[in-house]
Amino acid sequence: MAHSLHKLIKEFNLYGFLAPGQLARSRERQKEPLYGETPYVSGERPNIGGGANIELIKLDSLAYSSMPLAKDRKPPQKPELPPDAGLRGVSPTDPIFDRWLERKLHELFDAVAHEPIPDDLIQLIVTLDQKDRKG
Amino acid sequence: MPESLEDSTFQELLLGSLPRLRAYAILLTKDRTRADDLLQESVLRALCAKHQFQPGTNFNAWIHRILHNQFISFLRQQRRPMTTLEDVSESYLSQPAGQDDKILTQEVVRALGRLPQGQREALILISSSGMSYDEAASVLGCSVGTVKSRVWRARRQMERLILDNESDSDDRTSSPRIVNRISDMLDAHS
Repeated sequence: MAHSLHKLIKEFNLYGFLAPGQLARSRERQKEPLYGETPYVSGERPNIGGGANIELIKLDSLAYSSMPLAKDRKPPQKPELPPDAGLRGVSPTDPIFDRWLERKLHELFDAVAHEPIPDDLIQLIVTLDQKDRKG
Repeated sequence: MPESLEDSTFQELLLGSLPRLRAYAILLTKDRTRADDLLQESVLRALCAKHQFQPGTNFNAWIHRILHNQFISFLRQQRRPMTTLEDVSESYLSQPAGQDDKILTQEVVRALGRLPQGQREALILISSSGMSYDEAASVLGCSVGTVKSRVWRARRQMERLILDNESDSDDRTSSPRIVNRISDMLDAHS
């Protein structure tokens, strides 16, 4: 059944309608050149199925047969980013600036954290805590 | 592990966390008076909810989370434009330092005040307060990835604000100059 179908397709030169992957797989299965001595010439309009004026898609079968299968294609290579690039690689970061900023923010925070806590706040905590224990 | 904390232990934890909590509130609100109000409100909430704290878990993250929630409520209620962050740096600026260093500190404070709230919180928790990404995520109620993303964006925004401000205020060659000054300071510290 499959053999006769292939014969039919080959006879009517229909391989031009198949996707490149299907075409290459079919060629591999049959282990023989697609069109033998009479390759399809682009521009010809064979009468298929008795119908008239059927437009055939111009395909260069040899070029398509040499295309790799989808599974063999390699994904496009992304450009190498420097190790200090941002989370999504939007732009490379400046390590000098980041180190400086880190230090500045630490200094700012520590300066504020070393300030004495307002007495009224401590008093409030102690009072509320005592009330809570009694209640 | 005890079922609940002793009252004295809870009070000790609370009093011990106050300095860093207050510093976080000041950098967050950009205003000392408002920061103290926020801190007081958060402490009251923490005392009311002290039975909800599970011993053995991170008290620092727990109390910071309360303050974060309180801060969000403050923002929703007030809807007032924030005042400047100038006074945040007054204690730091009162320390002896070079003129360049003081100017740069003011720049950092100004840029920090212009960050979006989410980015500012993440940057303060990670870069200033020294929290881990896990702790910051539990404080902010988001994923670790979100915290990382916010911190990264905050740093880039700070970089733009500080360097662009410098180049706007002066001539075109000042951006490389500020980077050189930063680089010199790092060399001097290391």
